[in-house]
Amino acid sequence: MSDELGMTSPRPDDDSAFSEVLAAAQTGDDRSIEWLFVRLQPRLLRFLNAQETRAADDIAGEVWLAVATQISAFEGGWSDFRSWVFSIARRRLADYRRTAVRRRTDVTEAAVFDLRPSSDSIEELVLDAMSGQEAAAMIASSLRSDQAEVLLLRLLADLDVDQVAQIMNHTPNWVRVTQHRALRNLARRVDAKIAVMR
Amino acid sequence: MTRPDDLFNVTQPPISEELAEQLLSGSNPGVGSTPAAAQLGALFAAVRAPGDPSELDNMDAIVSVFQGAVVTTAAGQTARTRPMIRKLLTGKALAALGAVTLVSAGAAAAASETVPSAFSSDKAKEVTAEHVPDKALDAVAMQSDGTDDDSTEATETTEAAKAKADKVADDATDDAADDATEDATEAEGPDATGPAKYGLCTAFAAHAEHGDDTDADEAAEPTESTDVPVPFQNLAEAAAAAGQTVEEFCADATPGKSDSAPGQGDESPSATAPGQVGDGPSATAPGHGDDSPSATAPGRTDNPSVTAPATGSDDNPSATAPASGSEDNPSATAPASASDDNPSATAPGSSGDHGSANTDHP
Repeated sequence: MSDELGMTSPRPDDDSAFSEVLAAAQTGDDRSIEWLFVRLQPRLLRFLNAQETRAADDIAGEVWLAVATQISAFEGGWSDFRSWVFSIARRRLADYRRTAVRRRTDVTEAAVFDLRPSSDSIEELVLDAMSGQEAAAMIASSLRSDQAEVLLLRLLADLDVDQVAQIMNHTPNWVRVTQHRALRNLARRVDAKIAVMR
Repeated sequence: MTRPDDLFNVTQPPISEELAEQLLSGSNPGVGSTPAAAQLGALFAAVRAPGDPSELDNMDAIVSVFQGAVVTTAAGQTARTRPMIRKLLTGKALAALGAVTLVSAGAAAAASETVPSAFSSDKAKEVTAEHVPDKALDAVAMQSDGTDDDSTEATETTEAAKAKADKVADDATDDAADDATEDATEAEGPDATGPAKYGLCTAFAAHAEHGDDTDADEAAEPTESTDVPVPFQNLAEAAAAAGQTVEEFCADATPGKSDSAPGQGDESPSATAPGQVGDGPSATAPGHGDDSPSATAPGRTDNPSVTAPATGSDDNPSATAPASGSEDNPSATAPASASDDNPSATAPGSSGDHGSANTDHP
């Protein structure tokens, strides 16, 4: 499949196409780098924005720099690459939060988000007018941080349960249970909002 | 008062595992089964929506930085590899040099009748400095002399040394942990008719030629009765048994020739002893090895720690391979362990992709 960059997009079962892109990116080929960037940056930004709005752009830049410095040693498929990139993002996010705590900035506790009502944009959701960033932010603000992170990794990084478990240092069963609770909680919020709308 | 969401679990069917996977993987055949599921499906579709231009507005800058970093990193890795190779080579060279130095130092020490204390264990020193019997020395066919603080001890007669050796043998037998000393005190000496014949003959000849060259300050003024160490006594006895003089007996000695070599292996349990049996006399013979039977030979030959470090550091790849591998080879599994930013590239359980919505991004 040809895309706007004139490259073959890797299909779910086709890692060979990605391997060509990866090999070219490892040599600094700009088109291959753009190919990776176009496919990952929007989702990366949504993932970061949903959790640290103020620093999302900076952290994304750090993630790409880290990817650039170590991509030459990377081996794996497209799914592995996404998992790798989001794992870096998650670690950079944790670093940022640790630094923010040391700087005594006004980091909002996750519990505050639990008490926060669902986004008022549910109507927009019903109207299918919510942007990607808004939808991701709504998930993050409607759920506990671990539940939101599981859902965002599954949705934005297209990772399966095992990959999410590996990134989050939990068991696959923990991921399954967490994502199920997250879906139930999210559905409850959506349903409540719809009930209020009615 | 009952809130609307309190009745959610009553009014809404539970989310099945299958439905959850359909929602999260983006395959939506059953998403519209319930209103809540339909809303979740719409929400997740929005999350997966292709990026808008605002999310790619800094692409040029990041790609440029990315490109520069890749090139710089690639160059840096190439530059780093060379010194590491040099380090490895240097390490191996140093290890080999160390091995050679240790062996040379041992040989030199033996030749000069001075063996550094590091070459022998405490027990061995305790024994060798004062009590080592000639038989122990004979076991390895090494002659050297303790010329340091124990130089006066070297003037003891062989008989006295033997008398003490009996006592040491008893003590050493009791000390089961010190196998080296035990083996040393139980040694019978080289068989002059065995493989040690050539070495003994060579040593004997050298001794005959240089035997009087001992330095005065070595304090070893052997008496006539103690001048001939047991190896040479064995040689003389073997020659006498053959009805020959020592010179005649040695005339047909060739390296490695073994008329009969009973018990040589048993008497030299050390891995290094066999080589030293043949080489020792010739290495230590020139005028130095005959003055005193006391030496560190048992410690050297029976204590494998003398040679083990040298050979171990040189030949054991396990000591250097992991370190070098972890530092210098970031391929394959390196992304998983080299740094925090390297999750497993070959993640177990990764079962392929779920389809990327971004592949359709303009």
